[in-house]
Amino acid sequence: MFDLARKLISMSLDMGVQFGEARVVDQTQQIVNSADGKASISEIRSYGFGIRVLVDGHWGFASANLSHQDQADQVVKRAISLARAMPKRSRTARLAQVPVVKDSFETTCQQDPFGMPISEKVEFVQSITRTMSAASDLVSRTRASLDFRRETCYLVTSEGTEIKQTLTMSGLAIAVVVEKNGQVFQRAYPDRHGDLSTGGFERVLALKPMEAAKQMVPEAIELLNAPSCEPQITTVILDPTMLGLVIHETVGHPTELDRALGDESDNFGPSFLGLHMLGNFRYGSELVTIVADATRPGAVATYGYDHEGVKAQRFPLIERGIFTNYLMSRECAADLGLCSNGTARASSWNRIPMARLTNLCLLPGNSTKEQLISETDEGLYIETAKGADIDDKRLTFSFIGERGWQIKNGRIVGLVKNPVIYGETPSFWRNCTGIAGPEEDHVTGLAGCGKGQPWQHIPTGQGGPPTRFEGIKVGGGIT
Amino acid sequence: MYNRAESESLPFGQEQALEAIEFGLKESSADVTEILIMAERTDLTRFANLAIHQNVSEISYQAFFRTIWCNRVVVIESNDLSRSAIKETLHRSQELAGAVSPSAIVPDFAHTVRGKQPALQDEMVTFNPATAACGLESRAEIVNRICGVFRTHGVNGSGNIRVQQLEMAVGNSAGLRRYTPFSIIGLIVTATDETNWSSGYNNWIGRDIEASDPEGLATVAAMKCLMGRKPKVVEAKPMTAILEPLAVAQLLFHLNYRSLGLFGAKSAGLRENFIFDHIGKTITSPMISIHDDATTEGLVPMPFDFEGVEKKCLELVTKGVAKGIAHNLTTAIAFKQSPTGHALPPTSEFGPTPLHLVMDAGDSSVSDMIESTEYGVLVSRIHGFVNPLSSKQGYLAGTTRDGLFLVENGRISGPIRNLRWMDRIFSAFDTVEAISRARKVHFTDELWFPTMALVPTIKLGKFNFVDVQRWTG
Repeated sequence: MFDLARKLISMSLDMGVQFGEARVVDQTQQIVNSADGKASISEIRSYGFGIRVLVDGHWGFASANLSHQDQADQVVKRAISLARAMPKRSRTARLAQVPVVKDSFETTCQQDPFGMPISEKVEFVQSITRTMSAASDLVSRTRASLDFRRETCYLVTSEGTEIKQTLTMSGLAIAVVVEKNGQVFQRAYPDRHGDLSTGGFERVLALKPMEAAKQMVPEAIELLNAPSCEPQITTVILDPTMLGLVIHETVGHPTELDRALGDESDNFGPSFLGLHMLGNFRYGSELVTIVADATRPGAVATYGYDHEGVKAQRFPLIERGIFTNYLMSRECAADLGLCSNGTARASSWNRIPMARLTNLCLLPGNSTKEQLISETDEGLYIETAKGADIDDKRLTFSFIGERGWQIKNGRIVGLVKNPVIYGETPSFWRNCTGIAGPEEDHVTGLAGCGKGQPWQHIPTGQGGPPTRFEGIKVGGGIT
Repeated sequence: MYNRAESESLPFGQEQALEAIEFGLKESSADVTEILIMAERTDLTRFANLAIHQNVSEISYQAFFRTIWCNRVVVIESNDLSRSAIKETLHRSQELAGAVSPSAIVPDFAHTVRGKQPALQDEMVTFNPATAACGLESRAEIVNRICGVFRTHGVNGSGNIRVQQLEMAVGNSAGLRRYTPFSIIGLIVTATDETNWSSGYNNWIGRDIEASDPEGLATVAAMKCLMGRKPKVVEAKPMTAILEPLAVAQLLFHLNYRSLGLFGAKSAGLRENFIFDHIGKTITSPMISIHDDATTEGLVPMPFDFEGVEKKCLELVTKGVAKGIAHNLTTAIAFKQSPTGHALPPTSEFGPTPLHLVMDAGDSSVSDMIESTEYGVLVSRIHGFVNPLSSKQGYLAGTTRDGLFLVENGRISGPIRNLRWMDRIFSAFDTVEAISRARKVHFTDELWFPTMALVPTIKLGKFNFVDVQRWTG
């Protein structure tokens, strides 16, 4: 496959491009599902190639299925003609300099999920749904899914970079629905989106799905009967899944530099983080340090190199509460006279790389979940992210969890279902008053974060330990 | 204009698609087999800050092999349609069939040919060569015209133009063979004035490039942006809201698969579907009627769904009464209904889904609605990121975007900062006071085929606003 990528670059240079970047990508996904005890399997395979070129500072990108590799010259010509057809008023792109790399990277798998017998995976999900079904007569639906993905990418650039990278991801999602007297509650694990990691089947086992399955049914029944959350201004402590979703939406997307520069204004919006705020804007309290870490072992957005050939990095987006870095591709980094921080990714062979969230982690503090609760006079400990929305500038938001534990005088005193938190990004993060330690740190892998036109869905990681915020508007009323 | 592909640039071609389907069906040893091929050529030009920054072109196809072996259903998706790859895929299907469970309910492929055998190509006009011929120079020229409007109005702007040639071919072992090409052009324009916290938006989609009006779209967006400069903070509270078509369309998209899935059978199967739970009952104002019709003038037409089933007009809510939900070949059996022609591809997570939504027009106008409002807001658009709070209750939360205006004493008194809302949508619709005669087409593009809505402006007596965007930097 390197040969095809090299051929694309060679042809593009012969045709006069100033820069070329070719990727040949082979993606496989296997989903093993048990719904109400019935197993089903889907497999998806997609392979193809794409080439992005710069001609006179203008971009062109074209792609095709791998079975069209005999038409590689047509694809290169199409990319070049797109670049050449750009009108004079088009934006001229410059690229931040990067070292030339010849390397390979592969996710370490202790137990290769694609090498396992399919029957073993089927039995695994069926045992989970059997366990939940047998737990109570109130169970009406059960579902367990395994999601395995492998992507091999051959990247060649006209600068001389050649990288082969194979990423393997393994994930799990479990859900149970209980019903009584017309009331319905769905409980999910680890959250509504499941949890995807880099690595093999051992990553699924690390989530302890059978233990979770045993707990989920009584938890769901308890929630079925729980009251909904009353409106209040209070202290909230978020579990890692809720925290992860908040970080994703209120820190991840606003720190994408292409968004701040206006490139996403026609889609899900720009960012409130203007360029003048870099390095001086107080985003959160002194306790808040959030890093983008594409090197975190096992996290879903951990890789060797991004799709522009830049080495994976760990760097702070927010350091001791101050906004310190954007997520940047080579192009948008050059706009600021900075270096790329290795976050440009493409969802497949038929999409261009753009600045994306990697693994966004709130660095642990020195407290514990129990201590955070014991220090709270009145509040809620909210678990299991269920949904979110946020405005186009990434300021005003709502996040909903499945379960809220009511806290009074430092003790858990009751349960509510479907608590919703509301807020505005800077004031929310400035009200962070406590973070648990590394023992309770967890980063959840989201399978498909959307961005770009045409749409690109890509896995991202986000999370941290249980974290406390004060003076937060909470509501609900959802039965 | 033709109802068949006469463009040489079609990504796959009818002959090649049908040949692959015939070969696959002949090679398959499953009890029943369905092969769906979706081919695509998408050319997209994107601009920001009044300059093009992205020009991309994609030619691709996907094939879905759905086989059933002793009631065991296996789905494999591949983008290799060489004969060896097809054989390999079918062999893999047989391997996997040994591991999956028999389903109590399997899709009835014979339904697709029962009665009158459908024609290979429908009479419906789905392809316009002039649209397909909109090449990169033409797209750049359209961008130039849009940016010209923005410059004239002194606003910044971004947007994109997408030209697509799609092909869909379906065959099954019951004898069905269907094929249709599509031409689609979509325009998105956003006018912005960052200094004054203002923006305006518009979009349009259609089969025919001749029907597009880039300058008109850009002018509306630019005017909204100019009207919206320096918005003031107004306290959030439940109040009268005049929702313009972009806002109404967004709510329908989120009642649909984008959030709650209330228009399809999947959420009904999960016991989480407000419409299904109330079939035959009044759920909202008798002024509200919503249906799905793929033949609606102005929407990109579609003769059959991804299972090859003829698309039917589907009543969802008629005069305030919950009437029905969309079904595919599998859910139709599970719910003892007929398939409605709303299947998505077999690996889709959404289940059967309407793609051509229509809300009935009324007899009012936007100016009448404003004049009859003592205190309320005019909502230009709802942001596409919406929180699906409860499918059981039809409950959503989100924010306004791209132009929100205070209406006082029968006139627009000025722009205001975006508001957060949170409401049971059919309860909000129950307070509807007026619906406009004029309707507009808007779209959302998450799926392979766009989801469209033809919708009016509606005036709600009460929409539940709960918070305001205060931050100014």
